[in-house]
Amino acid sequence: VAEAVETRVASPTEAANTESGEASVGDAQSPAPASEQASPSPIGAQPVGVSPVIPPELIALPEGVRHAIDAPTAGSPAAKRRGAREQVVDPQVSYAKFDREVEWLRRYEMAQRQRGLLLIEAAFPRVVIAVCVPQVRPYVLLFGVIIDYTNWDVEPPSVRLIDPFTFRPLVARELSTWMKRRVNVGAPDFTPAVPQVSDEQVAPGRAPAPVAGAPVQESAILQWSGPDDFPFLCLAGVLEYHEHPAHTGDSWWLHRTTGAGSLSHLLNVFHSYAIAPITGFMPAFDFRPVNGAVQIEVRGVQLTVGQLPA
Amino acid sequence: MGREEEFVMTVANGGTARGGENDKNHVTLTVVVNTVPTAVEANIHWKMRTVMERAFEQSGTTGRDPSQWEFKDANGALINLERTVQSYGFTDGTTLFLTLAAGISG
Repeated sequence: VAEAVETRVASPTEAANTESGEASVGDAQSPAPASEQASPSPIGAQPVGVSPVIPPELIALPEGVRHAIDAPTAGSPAAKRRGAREQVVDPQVSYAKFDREVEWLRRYEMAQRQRGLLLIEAAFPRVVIAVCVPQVRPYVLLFGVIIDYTNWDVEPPSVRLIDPFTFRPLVARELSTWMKRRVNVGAPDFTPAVPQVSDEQVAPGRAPAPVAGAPVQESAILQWSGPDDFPFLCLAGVLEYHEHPAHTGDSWWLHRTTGAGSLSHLLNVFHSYAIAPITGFMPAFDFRPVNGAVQIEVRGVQLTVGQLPA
Repeated sequence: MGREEEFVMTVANGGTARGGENDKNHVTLTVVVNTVPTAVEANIHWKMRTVMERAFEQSGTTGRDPSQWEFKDANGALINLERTVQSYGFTDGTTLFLTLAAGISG
């Protein structure tokens, strides 16, 4: 039985877009040709029985999405990611280490594929993965991921969630999962009988171990500031985590030699928190009273999840 | 090479000797520690925790507590460290994955 419901799946309109975010913005803002302006609804003007072909320039992204792509908040992780990363480490070093990661991925590609992690492309400095859910029918493609190994491994990789069909970065409102986990938050001060989390249990780089009787709450590995911000993987071993002002005390150099940021680590996180918890679908309905009757409208499909991983 | 020289002595978990091709009590598992594969000669009565420790030892993996790792099979199913190799029915050449868990996030 599903215990919780994740966010809704993006509607076809939201998912539709053109080749890149920048191109979409420009296209959406450009005036439509005179012939199209003459018809208030070019799509509707199609003959009955003929599938409408929607010109790319007519597929407008929601205002918030266009704004987030065009002008992310200054200083935000999204803004930093937007700036081109410059390779300052000896390229041969980064390339050799990147090759090692890709070699591992290709060697165990079938195992990763069976888990729902499909390799789309791998060319220095980036690896592109499609994150799918193979255990439900119909299959689900959650999102794509670009893992950018520029300056690896002096710097951790940058991880961005994308539309796997266009490579356009996704904003928070488009997510179909937040990659939730159970987090032991320790015992509240007013109940001293409940065991506390010791320092050992929260050693650097280690999630607090479950403590019997202590309260547990949900936390999301994907973080963002607002619905139109680009979500990032808030995880040690990821550039966006270590660049975030809240994590200045957790340097990448404390994690660099431990395997954090490797493809093995990142793909395992996506499998554990994005793929494995999903158990199925549930349609979402809107009920509206209309003239004494109830009108039911299918609002979309929600993913259901089982027990969240710790 | 004589038969005795083929013996591989295992010392963990009380230690047993592996002798030749007819030994039914041992399997060779390929454990991929992060990205490094290592072949672990495991007694079928070992707990999976012992297999994990042996894999860490053989791959020279240090620096993180074993609790910060996830042990999964090829399908991504988490392996119970208290179960034995035999209970999983692993055979020679089975590939398992030891990968860093998420750790602190958010």
